[in-house]
Amino acid sequence: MKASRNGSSLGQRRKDFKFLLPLASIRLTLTLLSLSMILIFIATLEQVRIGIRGALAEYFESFYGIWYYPEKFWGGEFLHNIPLPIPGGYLLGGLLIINLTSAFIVRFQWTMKKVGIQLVHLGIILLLVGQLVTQAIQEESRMQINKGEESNYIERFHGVELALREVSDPNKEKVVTIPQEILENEGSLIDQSLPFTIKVHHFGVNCDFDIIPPGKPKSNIAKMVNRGVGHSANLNIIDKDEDFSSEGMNFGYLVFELFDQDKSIGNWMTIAHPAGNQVWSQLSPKLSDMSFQSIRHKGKLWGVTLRQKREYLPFSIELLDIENEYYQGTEIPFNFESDINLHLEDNQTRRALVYMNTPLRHGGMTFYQYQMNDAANYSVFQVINNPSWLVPYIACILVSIGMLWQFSFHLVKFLRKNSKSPANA
Amino acid sequence: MLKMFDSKKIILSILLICGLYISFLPNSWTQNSFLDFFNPDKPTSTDQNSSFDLEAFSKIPVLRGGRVKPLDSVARNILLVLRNKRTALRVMEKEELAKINRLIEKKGALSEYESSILTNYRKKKKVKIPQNGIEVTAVEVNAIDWLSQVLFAPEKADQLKTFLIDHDQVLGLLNRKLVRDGKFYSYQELAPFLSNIDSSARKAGEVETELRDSFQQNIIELYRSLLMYKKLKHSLSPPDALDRPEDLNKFGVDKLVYNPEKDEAKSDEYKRFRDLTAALSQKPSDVQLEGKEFGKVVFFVDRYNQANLWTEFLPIPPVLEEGDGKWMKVCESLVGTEPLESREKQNIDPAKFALTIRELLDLDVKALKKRITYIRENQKLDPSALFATQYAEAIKVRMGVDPVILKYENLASAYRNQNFRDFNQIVSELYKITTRRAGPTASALSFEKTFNGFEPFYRSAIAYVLAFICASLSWLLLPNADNRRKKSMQALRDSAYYLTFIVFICHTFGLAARMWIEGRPPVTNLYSSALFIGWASVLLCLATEKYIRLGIASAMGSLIGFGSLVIAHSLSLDSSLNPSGDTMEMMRAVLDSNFWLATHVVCITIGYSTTYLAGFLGIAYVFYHIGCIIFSKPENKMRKTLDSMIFGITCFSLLFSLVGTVLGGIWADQSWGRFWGWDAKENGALLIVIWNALLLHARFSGIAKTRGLATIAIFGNVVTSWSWFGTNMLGVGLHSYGFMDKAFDYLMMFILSQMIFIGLAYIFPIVQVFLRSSTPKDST
Repeated sequence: MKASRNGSSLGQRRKDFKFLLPLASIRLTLTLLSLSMILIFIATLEQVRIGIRGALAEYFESFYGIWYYPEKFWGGEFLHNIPLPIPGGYLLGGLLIINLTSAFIVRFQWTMKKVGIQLVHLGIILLLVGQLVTQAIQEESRMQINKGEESNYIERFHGVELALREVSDPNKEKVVTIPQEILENEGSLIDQSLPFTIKVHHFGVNCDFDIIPPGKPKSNIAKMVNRGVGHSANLNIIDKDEDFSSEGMNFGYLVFELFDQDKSIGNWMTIAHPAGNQVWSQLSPKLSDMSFQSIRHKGKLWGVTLRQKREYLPFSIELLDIENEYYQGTEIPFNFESDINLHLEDNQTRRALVYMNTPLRHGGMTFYQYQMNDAANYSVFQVINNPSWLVPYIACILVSIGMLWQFSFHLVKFLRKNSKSPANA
Repeated sequence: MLKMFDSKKIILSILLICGLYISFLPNSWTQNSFLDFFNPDKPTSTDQNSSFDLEAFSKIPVLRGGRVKPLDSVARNILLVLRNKRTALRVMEKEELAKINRLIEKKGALSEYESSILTNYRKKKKVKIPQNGIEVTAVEVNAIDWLSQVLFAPEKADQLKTFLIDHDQVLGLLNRKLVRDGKFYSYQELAPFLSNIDSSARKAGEVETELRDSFQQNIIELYRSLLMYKKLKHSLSPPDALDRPEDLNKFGVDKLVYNPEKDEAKSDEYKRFRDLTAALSQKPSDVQLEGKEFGKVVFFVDRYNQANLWTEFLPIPPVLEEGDGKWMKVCESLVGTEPLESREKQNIDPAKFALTIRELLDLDVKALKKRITYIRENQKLDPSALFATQYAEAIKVRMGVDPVILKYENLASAYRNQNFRDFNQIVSELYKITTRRAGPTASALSFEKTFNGFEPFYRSAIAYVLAFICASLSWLLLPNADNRRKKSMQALRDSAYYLTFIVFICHTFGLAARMWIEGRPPVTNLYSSALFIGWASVLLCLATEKYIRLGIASAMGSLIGFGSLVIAHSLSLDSSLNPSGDTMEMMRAVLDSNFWLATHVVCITIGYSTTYLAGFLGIAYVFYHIGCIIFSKPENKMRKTLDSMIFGITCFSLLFSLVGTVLGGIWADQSWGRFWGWDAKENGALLIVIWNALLLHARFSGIAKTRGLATIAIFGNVVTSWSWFGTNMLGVGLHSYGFMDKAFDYLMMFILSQMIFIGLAYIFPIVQVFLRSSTPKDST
């Protein structure tokens, strides 16, 4: 009785959503699954060449990617020249979601026998949607703290900003930041709060830089610099493509000119260090001013620097101690641990330990033990802001319940069948 | 009828006894049997007064690779790295061989001594190896015997064939040829070429790991092996320093350093050093940079720091009173360890250094220890203070010479003097002291030693072959089976099933023993994943065979079991995966989570093994399919059975690989902050999940029939191998455990073989159609 009612409702649904039938086809599912195998395999191979971030951008976070057969492989000399379009993650993911959802509407039945399967598929839809959302909105940053010090901002792994600070008044600091998207347009910038106009001459996401002896020829970009560290340290820079590999260091650079009305004040160069601008002073004393190039203008002291994009937090973290242990007589790390004080918004303080597999979650962000330097006494956290982090967990629970249901159902059936006749086949 | 019954029983029992013999009982190719686990401390059969009790010696605990283990494991693991075997070889002298031959001919009237020599010789395994173009006989030297020679009589050990060199160009560098000189060499044979090897390895080391050619890899491996051997040799007794007399005079230590003519052992030097520091700690005012007494201390601290570099394992167990659980090297127990690299010494500020030392020595021992810890934690960038802590530690904290050092030295001299009674006496004392001081970490020593000798995986591998042969034989009886044949077929199938069960117990025991020794879930590295994949497959096969007694699951299970154990063995030989030779290594911090190892890793590995099982059943179907065509018989019930077996196992496979992958996502979210990062290994796992899902959907929709299902399952083998090994060969991502290009060729061959199976499934029916259409023509 119950089954027939379900059946009739399915018939009704089929009538109402007739146009979905081809989209719900299982042949489409098989095709999409096969295509995603190809996508994943090729994108994994490509990680060797362009790194995980490169493969992400080219294949997973796109509608299609173009693949060339690797030259090094067998027969590569000829096959290398043929461009092969590969369906991308957004395309296949999107189509799979449509395929599954349509199947839910026009094919699936909610019977005892099938309910497990439906739950599994629901969970998989959720996983796919969750991953799409995560890739769109998740932000990764880092926070570096020296032992005994305190920090209240995080810096993005990728993306820079130009920061101008007016520090004439010791009690009050004025900061103006200009994000990367605006710098990329390479035009003139006028801001009401700034007493001068900024003209961007060159901006790039990565470069090679070098202190060269005077008299040696410089690149066109570096030639025009006549003020600041770029001038005093005689820096030469050469533009470079962004390095997508996981260990890649990208030094964003900016060459800009300041104008007072129409009168040029000079040309400066500034480079952002991917590990934070405090590193400059360790590299060379000549470069230490890179984190604050001072400009005196109309009796006010301004400091200008290009830095990794920053976000200030309503709370701060103080690093009390770090621990870095190895198994005795080996170089196998046994424990990385940061002992911290979390200074909360309401002036309260909380002690916490951050170590492997045990991050700190606070204020919608998660802090992971990322790097540690025992000799120089600092610790680096990776900070993740992902509002959709709970989605995969819910999806997992759905999938697990569905699978357990389905398999216990079948196992019981199988055992019942076989317990009657344990005979030899 | 009665007769049939009997023959069935006889086959069964003979095979089962064979299985038991291979898996558990004492046999000639392993040192220990299952029985030895029940009396671990049984007195050795050898007479205490006429031979060294190496059995007892092999149980003494030391620390190597971060784990407390018996010397037996150290010896075996190192030999595995050096020679890819767990033994060394001793070439027999001509006279020795002649003497043995004489004894053999003499027969009958042998004295007790002579017969003992003969039985000893007969017990040992002998191999023929080429040397200078002539074939010579070599006897195997077991691991602990080899280690005792390396530690106590290095000049003898240097003559044993210990190093495996099979690369023609490396041999060329040594002016040797593979055919003429073989592939095993002793340290003595390599000694003249050390500087050549050193410089070639150095040059090869400048090339990036991924870009090295086979010569460069092999020369680096040889260099590392030699280094390991040298370090091992000096682990108990530091290398003799090349002192120049004028230096000794300059520091005024010529009377203090070890003098081989007067002193009995190196510990005499240690004692004199201790007297020196004891005197200084009484009179801290003597501690001045230019002071004569302090200058001597500086000399010795430098000397011992150097010696600390030459050690392969840590022999000195923690001192009970100190309670910090730290094992030490011989010289570390005298002067501690250098807080910074030696070259940082040039940055010392002399005034500050002297001031800090004096300030430290004024404290009493307890306060001094605290202060030293404080300085080492908080003044990491101050070399003056840091080095001062070591000198203060050497002078005032470290007191006396550790009794374990003295025991080891006595042991060495007893060994050299062939004083069996003293040796055995000291060994038992040493065992008592070291185990007491090692505490609970040394609880599994005897067990581990017996486990090493039991070699459960070696035994299992052999026994799996037997089970496979049984099951396969049962199929050969299949065509044109009459009643009689059917009976023996059944007998074979039953014995294959029970045989697999017996081996499975042995395999399980091996896994469980590893888990107990390590205190970890079963899968911790690539090696143990291979052990576990085989185990899980066999378990599933046994469950299947229990209900469907066709011999197929037994055959495929034992095949996978054997294959995975062989893979595991070759993984243990891979120097990049297993540089220390110990397959029970410590876990890196991020992996150090028993919960996730027990859930995520186990699920994923079960996923691998079930996918393989489905794939091998697919292969079985392809053979059945072809067989039916060749004998032109219709496919019967077997087809349906295989179909549902592949389907059922793929369901399992999807369950485990999906759950495992999702758990991995959760672990990644916990430790790296992202659920999914498109890392190579993650993608590999995802591929398996998708492929299994694809198989199930293809069957549900009716698009694939049995043959399609079988070929999809066979391609699952390719997908799984890619995920298990291929992703590691890329050398990218978080899960890459080491670059293993050696396995690349094998992987390609495996993939090719699977492709051939898939091809066969489709080609044979076409051929058959072709033949059928041509036969009638011929007849007409």
